[in-house]
Amino acid sequence: MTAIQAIDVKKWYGDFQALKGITMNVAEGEVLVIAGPSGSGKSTFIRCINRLEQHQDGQIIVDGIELTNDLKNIEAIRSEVGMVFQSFNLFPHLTVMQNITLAPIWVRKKSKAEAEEKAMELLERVGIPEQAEKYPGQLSGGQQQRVAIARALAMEPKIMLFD
Amino acid sequence: MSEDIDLQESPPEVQFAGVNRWLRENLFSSTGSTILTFISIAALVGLFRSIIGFFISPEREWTAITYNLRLYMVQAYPESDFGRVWITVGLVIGLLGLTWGFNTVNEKVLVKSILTNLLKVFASLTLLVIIAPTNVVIDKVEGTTVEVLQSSLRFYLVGVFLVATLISFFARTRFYKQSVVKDYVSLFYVGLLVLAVWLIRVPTVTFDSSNVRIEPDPLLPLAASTKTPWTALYVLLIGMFLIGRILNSRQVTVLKRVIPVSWLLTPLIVVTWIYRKPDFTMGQIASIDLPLIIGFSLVGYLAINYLNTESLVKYQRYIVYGTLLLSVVVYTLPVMRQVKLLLFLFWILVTVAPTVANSKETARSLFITWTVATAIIVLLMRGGTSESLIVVPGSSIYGGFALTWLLAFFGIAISFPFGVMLALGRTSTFPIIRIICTAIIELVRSVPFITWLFFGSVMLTLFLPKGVEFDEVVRAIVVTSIFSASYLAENVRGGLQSINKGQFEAADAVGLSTVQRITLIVMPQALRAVIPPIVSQVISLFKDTSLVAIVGLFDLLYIGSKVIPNQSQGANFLGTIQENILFCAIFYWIFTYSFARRSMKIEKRLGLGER
Repeated sequence: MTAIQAIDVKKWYGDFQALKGITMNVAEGEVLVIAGPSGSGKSTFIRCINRLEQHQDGQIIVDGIELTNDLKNIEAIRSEVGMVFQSFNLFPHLTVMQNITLAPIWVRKKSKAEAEEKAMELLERVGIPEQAEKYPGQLSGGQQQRVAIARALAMEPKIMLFD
Repeated sequence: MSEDIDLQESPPEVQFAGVNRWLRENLFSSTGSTILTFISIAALVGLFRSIIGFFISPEREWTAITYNLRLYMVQAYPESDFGRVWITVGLVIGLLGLTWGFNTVNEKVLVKSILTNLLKVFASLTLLVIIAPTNVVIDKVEGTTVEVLQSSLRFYLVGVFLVATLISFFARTRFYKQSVVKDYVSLFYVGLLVLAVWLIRVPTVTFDSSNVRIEPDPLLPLAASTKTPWTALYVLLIGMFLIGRILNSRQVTVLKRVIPVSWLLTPLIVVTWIYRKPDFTMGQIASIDLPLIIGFSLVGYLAINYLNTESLVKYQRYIVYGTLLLSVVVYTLPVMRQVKLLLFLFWILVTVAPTVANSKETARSLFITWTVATAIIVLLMRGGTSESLIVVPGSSIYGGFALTWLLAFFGIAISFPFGVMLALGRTSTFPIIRIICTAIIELVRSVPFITWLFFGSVMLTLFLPKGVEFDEVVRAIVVTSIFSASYLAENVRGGLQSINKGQFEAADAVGLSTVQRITLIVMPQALRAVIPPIVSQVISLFKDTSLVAIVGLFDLLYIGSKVIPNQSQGANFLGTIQENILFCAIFYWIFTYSFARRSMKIEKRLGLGER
């Protein structure tokens, strides 16, 4: 079963064409690394997959649903696609624990205790359980990246994107 | 991991290098800075000498303030109803104590740092007494001087303050490790203020039996007639503080909701019931209000519990439109305003009930909220629409500090949510809302505040339907709030723009909805970023309330600058404008400065962890 399917995806920024007809398939459970020089469109493509950017031509099908303009359940799709950003984009006003539990509580409607248990489990998996009550600004770059991964995993997504 | 911890060393202690070195490094580091230091000290001494001279000159008629404190506070509010003023103050102080006690974190403070503060205060007082002038000029033309500070008194004061300074200095080295709970220290300071009301004696204007002023003015305790109420209120403050602490330790979490609601309701209750002394009978409440509350509560119960049943859900749309039509029709009929308002609220209830009340618990809490809200609205409107029994010369029963407080509180309370909404509207992608919000902001802030006050006072009636009249104070509040909101909106917009685009994307990527994104991610960060300008805005709103004098309201400053300096009957205070203006300035300063300090602490606390 394919998790992500892209067919001839094109995208422009003004006159500059960032994506020149990308066609590919990613199967469930597959790990795919896209490598290339800076500015070659890696981030643009990954951001198209969870609709942070809109592609202008071609088709992207995520988890069996095509991304089009009249996408009503975009929030539902995004909650199935975890994303770790290049610059992490942690919420600076929330503690590490709150960063991780925010979406499970508000989007998945989990109880606070349940969400925190899961978050602790994930923090242990990424090796920084002792940082749970700190704010992102107090962590090193590497620790922040781990938190960002834990935050994305906390939603138990079907697909993970690492920018 | 454990090896890492073993390797941890504590940082080296920073040694205080001594006064000499500090002086050398900071004040006398070069020839230029030495000269600058001496010039500044000379200028400061000169400035303080003249300020102290101004205060203690025999020309100053400070009795103008002690005699008129009541006028300053409540203007012409009748003395027979002062109980109402005290109830108001009591409500606020009681609520303050409860909030304080409930939210206290038992933060400790070192005795040493308290003593350091005392040391600074006493040392400054010693210095001030030393530099105080002996003579002041009372006639500029002839150069006549008069002795205001005998050297014996000066020695006595310097001695007292010096001893106090030395005591705090040595106590400071003695108690360098002990600490006390900060709240008790604050309560102790407030207690000192109350004690001062009893003990400190000031010159007071008195009259003999034939109503002739007794000269010279005798020294009487400050606030002689109000010391008992103030003491009672102090006891109330402590009592409510302790109650709040006990409730906090018992984890009565319902107070978390009760306290903010009480803060919003108290001013409304004060304005409609306590301060106005509304003219109504219990019979009116029993025969009109009670049935109204029960009726609407019952209809609400039906709407909440039966609108989402299957047989009715398909008619939902017709029921909503029907209720709207009904409320519009009733609005045009000559019925009580309570009914008109409640019908509109009922329309909102009918609209949201089927989706909100989807479980037994939510239905129950929605029903309780609806009933309580209905009761509060009906009862508040009963008080607000009844004739007021308080009669004062002039247009408004509010005057003096009572008016300043009222305008500031409602101005801030209304303008804050309104300003945030305007800011969100202006940054919204929805064109109509964006244009409307931008238009409001640009229009409101491009016209002077005084012009808007005139507009509210003179022209607003032309735009309102016939028969709708608002009190002058209400109009001033509305104008103040809207004006302040448009400035606030621009501050908040600045905060919104300061937020990294990545925050929006991260919120989107984890699947938050637009409303969740704004309330959980964007707004907390945006508001935090703009606390300093918002505080400035609130302070300037507080001071701008003095402009309402222009539409005939007697606020604190107007009383100080116009009313008291024109008093010639009884005590003669003609031309005491300097004393009164200075008093007003100090009064405003105390409030704005303590507010600024408070917000600085909040800022520090919120900024925690943001490097």
